Amino acid sequence: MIKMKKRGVIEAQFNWIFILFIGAVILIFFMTFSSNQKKVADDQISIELLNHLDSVAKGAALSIGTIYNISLPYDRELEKICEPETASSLKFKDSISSGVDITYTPLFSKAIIEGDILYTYSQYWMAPYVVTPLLYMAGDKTFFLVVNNPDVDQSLINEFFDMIPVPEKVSDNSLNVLKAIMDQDDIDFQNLVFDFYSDFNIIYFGNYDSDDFDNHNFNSRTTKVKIYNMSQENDYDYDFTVDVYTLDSLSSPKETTYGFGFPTLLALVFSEDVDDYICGMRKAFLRYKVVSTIINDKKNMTLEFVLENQRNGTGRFHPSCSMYYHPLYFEDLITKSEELFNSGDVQELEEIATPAKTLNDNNERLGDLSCPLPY
Amino acid sequence: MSFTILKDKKGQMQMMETIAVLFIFFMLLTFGLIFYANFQKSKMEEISDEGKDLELVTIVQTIRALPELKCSDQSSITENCFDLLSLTSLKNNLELGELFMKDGSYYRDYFTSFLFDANITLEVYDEKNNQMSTLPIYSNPYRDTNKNNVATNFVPITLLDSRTGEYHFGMLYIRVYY
Repeated sequence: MIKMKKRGVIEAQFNWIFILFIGAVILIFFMTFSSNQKKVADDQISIELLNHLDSVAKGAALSIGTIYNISLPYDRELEKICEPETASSLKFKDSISSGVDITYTPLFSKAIIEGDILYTYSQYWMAPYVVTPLLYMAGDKTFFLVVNNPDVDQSLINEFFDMIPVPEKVSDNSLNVLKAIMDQDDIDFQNLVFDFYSDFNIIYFGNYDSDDFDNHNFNSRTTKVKIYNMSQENDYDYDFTVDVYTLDSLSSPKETTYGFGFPTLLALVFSEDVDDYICGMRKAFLRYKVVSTIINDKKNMTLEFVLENQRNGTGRFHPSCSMYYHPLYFEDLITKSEELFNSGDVQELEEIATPAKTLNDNNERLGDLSCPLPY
Repeated sequence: MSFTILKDKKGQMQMMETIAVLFIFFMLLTFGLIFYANFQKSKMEEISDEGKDLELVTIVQTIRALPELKCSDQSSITENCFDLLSLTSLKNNLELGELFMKDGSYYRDYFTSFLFDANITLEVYDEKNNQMSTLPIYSNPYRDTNKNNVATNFVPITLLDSRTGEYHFGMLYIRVYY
């Protein structure tokens, strides 16, 4: 009887152990399955979002000056990689997916795009004709501040300021904006603490004063501070030298670089650093050569047509028309753009100022004479 | 003694029952997983097909965004209008190899980097003679000939001959091989 009881106890215990074991196996199976499914779903969302980003990048090139915002998945950071001779690529950090290549439009953004919302924006780079749209991206943890200089032509500052995108929700008093403009005299920098955001970009027009800033302006969360002091080099079309100051070098410039036109300055401000800016610009220089070659060819065909009409005495075009289709400046720009692409030396950008200005003047003159325009 | 045998048999029966339940459970689970895997596979194929369609749309978008091909007046761009001379210039330069980049193997042909295996043809409608003329614009010289499937899209466009200021009607055919 005792023996039978013992057997019964063992049997009952075995049943319970068996049930527990099988239960544990089933539980582990479902936990692993759901965890894998979560990873797959996350990656699927990332891939869909990246595909969407590719379309947005193409769309932004079509709708210049329009700001798009895209919600990013929680706690996922976008990583940008720039290779000058291939496409820029965007991928989610630590994701298994290979990311998306932004092949056609030069892309300017920080190396890591942080935040819950991604802003994309584009502007045409013109030198003097439209070369390419430049695409800018920033997360909502990035902050831009333009400091007004009353001594600088206000239309210049306003033009630059107008180019900076404004997101839909703007709250001026909380610094929760993608842009802000302030007169230097109105800003009490000593009392302005840059909290909340990690990435500050402060843009001066030739009046940066390191005394404006003190270490107490920044705290441990503020890891990236870039101050851009822009000096106009040339009266024509915004040929700029830019001194870049960083948090560890507020009194002397960390780097100096160059820009041609406001869209290139915006490209610098959106970029991770000067090297990243040059990497993106090299893609623009490559397009510059292609566009210049096509427009030069178009100009030659137009000149041929005008000369033929003049020879035949049709009286269709003004006799002075043929004077303004000068080949030299286009060829200058083709050579210069290829050199810029190969060397990445943006200081040479100032050398495009003269041929670009002459071509622009010629094009305007052709317009005045009602001659067919090269661009 | 007979009670013990009966108890043993009952225990065995219970055990068999449990095993049978588990067997059926795991069998259903396996069926479920196979069904789910097949569902996922067909979903992936669907996504892949969508990707091909998206590639075609992306190429169409890219062509429409190329500023050097658009009609312009003092750098002011006109949307949905292509410059006939620029398209001809692009065709000529591609044929002559003028747009091949010397630096870096990736840009053997600049346009290949974003037009991939596309084939672009322009049809221009000549209103005066009521005729259509075809102008092949772009075809990737390094096209993967193993790709035999074609997706086609066409875009009705306005064409401007900037020399005469005349507008024409045209159709841009974009074929993508996959």
